[in-house]
Amino acid sequence: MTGPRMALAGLWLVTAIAVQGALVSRFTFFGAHPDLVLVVVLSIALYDGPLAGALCGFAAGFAVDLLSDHVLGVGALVLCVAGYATGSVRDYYDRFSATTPIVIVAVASAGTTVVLGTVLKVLGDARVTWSGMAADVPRIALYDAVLTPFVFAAVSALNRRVDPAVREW
Amino acid sequence: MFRDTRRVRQLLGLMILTSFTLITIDYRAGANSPFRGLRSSVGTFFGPIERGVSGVVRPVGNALSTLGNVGNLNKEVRKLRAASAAVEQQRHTNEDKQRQFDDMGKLLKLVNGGQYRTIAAHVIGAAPSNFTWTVTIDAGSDRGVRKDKTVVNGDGLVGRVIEVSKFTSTVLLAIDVESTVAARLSYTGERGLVKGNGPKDMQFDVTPATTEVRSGQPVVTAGSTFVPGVPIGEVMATRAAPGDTTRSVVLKPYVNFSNLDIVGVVVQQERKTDLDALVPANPAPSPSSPAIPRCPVSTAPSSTGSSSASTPAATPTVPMVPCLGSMPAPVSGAAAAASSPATSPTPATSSSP
Repeated sequence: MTGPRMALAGLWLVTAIAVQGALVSRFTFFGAHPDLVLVVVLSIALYDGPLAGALCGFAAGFAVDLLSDHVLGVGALVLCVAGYATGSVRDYYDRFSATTPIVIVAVASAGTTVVLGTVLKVLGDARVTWSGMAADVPRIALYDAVLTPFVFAAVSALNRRVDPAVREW
Repeated sequence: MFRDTRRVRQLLGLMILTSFTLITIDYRAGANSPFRGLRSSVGTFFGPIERGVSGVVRPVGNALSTLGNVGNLNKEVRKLRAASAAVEQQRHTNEDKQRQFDDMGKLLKLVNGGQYRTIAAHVIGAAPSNFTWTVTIDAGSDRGVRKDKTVVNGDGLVGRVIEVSKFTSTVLLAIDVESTVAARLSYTGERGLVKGNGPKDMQFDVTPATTEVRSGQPVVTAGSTFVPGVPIGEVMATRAAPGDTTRSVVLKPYVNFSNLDIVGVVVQQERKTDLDALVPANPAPSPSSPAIPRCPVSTAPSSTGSSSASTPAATPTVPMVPCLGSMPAPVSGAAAAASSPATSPTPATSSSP
């Protein structure tokens, strides 16, 4: 991860968090809303690999923790691991088809949301219920999958511009 | 260079360790968390950015919100058509009452002058999590917002401030599962606790269990953390098992929490009780009317609503709704018009055996 690409990733995350707070989180569609921050972290991980995924996941998770009122560090932990895992998945592919990132993000979103909810519940957050999660997780995964083609394409295109030497996808 | 998986794993381990440390410290410290200041400063950093984004995307957001609500809108249209026919009929009978109401409104403003100071704010964001019901507003400590201040809008209670940064604050919505509001039934005055239930209707536990509750009956804040008399919602249904000490009431909030935009923060509350408010603070301008309710909930224009309008303050148990100075719409008007509880109060259930 070179300097310019790190700066770019930071910019992506700040933008994602601002748009998430100002737009996405304000409107629920049938009870849930997409997790744009997570989609951006996973897209960066898919493009740049496990290290970038873990670093961006940690930073984004920490920022989301600070902006939410739940226990600090939970988002950082879960998103860091999610970014690392998703970045590692990349090594099993030579090249992504158009649908691969969508499927990976959908699965990773569902997993991340379940783990995040479980950790919060274990820490005594009364707002997380199993029935609520069962209803919301498929929706969140679906919404995130819908966002993926756009976000992943944008992340790849900008990264390629900044640093053409990166492994192409 | 990133084939060096050993170093990557070391870094990952370090970050996981940091996360666990953060969780442990924050969890054990609870409200005295050493990260308070950090949370506030991150809010200060993202506040203006979110405000900018919010300004640009508000029309988009409104359009999306409409899309997500198409099903509800059809229902709404049918309901509104029926309601408008009834309103048209009532309008004729109400014109005389309106004059009385206007006169009283002037008096109310007089009584109410300086009662509460409210500042208006835009909702500029929501918590970036699917498990929390909080919003960010564009007023912070620079405009006098403090923790635990009551937040309202034209329809009723929105929530209370839980975090304040320089230019923004976070509001815990009344529908958040962690939100608990001391409340009481209007008309009868029994007290209880209103708890949020996320996207589902709120729950109002009222004691004693034998309390008679009518559907459509408004519930208002009782005033502890919150300023008293703010309408919260109306009774939908009620249930009490034999032997319960409380009666559990399903409450439909007046405020539509899915598209909050302009809200008011009650930043200053004078140390007065409800009963004090019945007496004009400055008796000089209206010595002839010593006892005037602030905004009786039941004085909505309706054919049978004359009882409390013509006998103001005859019963001190009638809940008073403060007219919040800078709010765009009178609080009680929207609430009572939506429910029109006085027209057909049908008992939801009989009291428990």
